[in-house]
Amino acid sequence: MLLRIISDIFLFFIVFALPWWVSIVFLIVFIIYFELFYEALFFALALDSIFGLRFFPILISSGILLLIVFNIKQKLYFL
Amino acid sequence: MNYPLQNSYRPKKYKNLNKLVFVVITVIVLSFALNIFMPKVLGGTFYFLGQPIWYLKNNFSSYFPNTALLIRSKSDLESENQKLKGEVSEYDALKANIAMLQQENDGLKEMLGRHDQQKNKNILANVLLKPSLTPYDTFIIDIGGVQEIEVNDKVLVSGNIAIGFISRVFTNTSEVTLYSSNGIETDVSIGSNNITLKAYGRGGGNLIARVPKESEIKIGDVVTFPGSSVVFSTVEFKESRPTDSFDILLFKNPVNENELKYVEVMKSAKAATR
Repeated sequence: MLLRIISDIFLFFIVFALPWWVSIVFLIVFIIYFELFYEALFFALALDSIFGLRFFPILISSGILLLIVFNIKQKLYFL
Repeated sequence: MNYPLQNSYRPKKYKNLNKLVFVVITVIVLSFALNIFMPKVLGGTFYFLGQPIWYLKNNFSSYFPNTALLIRSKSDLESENQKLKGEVSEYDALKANIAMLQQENDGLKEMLGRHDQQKNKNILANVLLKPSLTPYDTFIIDIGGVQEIEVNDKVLVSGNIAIGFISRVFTNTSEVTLYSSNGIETDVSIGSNNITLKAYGRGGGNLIARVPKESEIKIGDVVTFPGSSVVFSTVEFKESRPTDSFDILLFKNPVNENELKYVEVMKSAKAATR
């Protein structure tokens, strides 16, 4: 839990202080690493709003990625 | 016969799928709704959240501008210092000349009874965000609706060079779009004959315009706004093809947007008197 909070704070600074492509790389890594990384939607929305993207491409992509990663994780289980 | 045991976690985790789908769809729908009905809310909120970080980042980078400079030799610095001092004295002379011409211009306008009509009010703004934290050819400044900034107000550098316009206004921040931004059309006036034509932004600080072959525009001619003394750029390149009845003029932003720290927002006369 602590790791997740630290990651959230880290991502918050990344989104506002570093180029967009760095934020997207970290966003993807965190979506894959953490279980149900809902925070990704907030950060994706922040990126879309800062860039003034009207159709929220980053938000929609993040939502789709969250669903895909969740489904893949469901199917991956070890005996 | 041995069968693998079923993972007991799987059915439990499936319950989360519905929740996840619900959250994702709700957030997307809410974002679209906010963007349609209250377009300033999302941008304004995130600009407000980011403002302290951007101030911090700008201050931090101004304290540590370039570590490579710290290890340069004293003789290099001395020679550069001398060179820069020479340039400064040249610019001082130029500035005095411009001030004299400005005074003369104001006097002539006053004689013609047009002095106060053209009066505009400039507000100094700090550049908070530049590319690549913003889309290319746009940047964010730290003044907004509170300072009565309006969409389409001109953004100037060095007092008289227009580089862009206000495209979005929030409470304490505004977005500036450069005239060189791709797809932006601007009316400009070029040369001593004041030929008015449209300049098209091509991105990356570059602009293009097409002018009839007969016009006597040459490289170095000043580009201004029609009916205004605000400078836009100078003609940098002229391409002439024998088969074409038009010449292509290329010009670029006189300043590098990545080096900007401060800009001035020129409020229109109407907004300034409010």
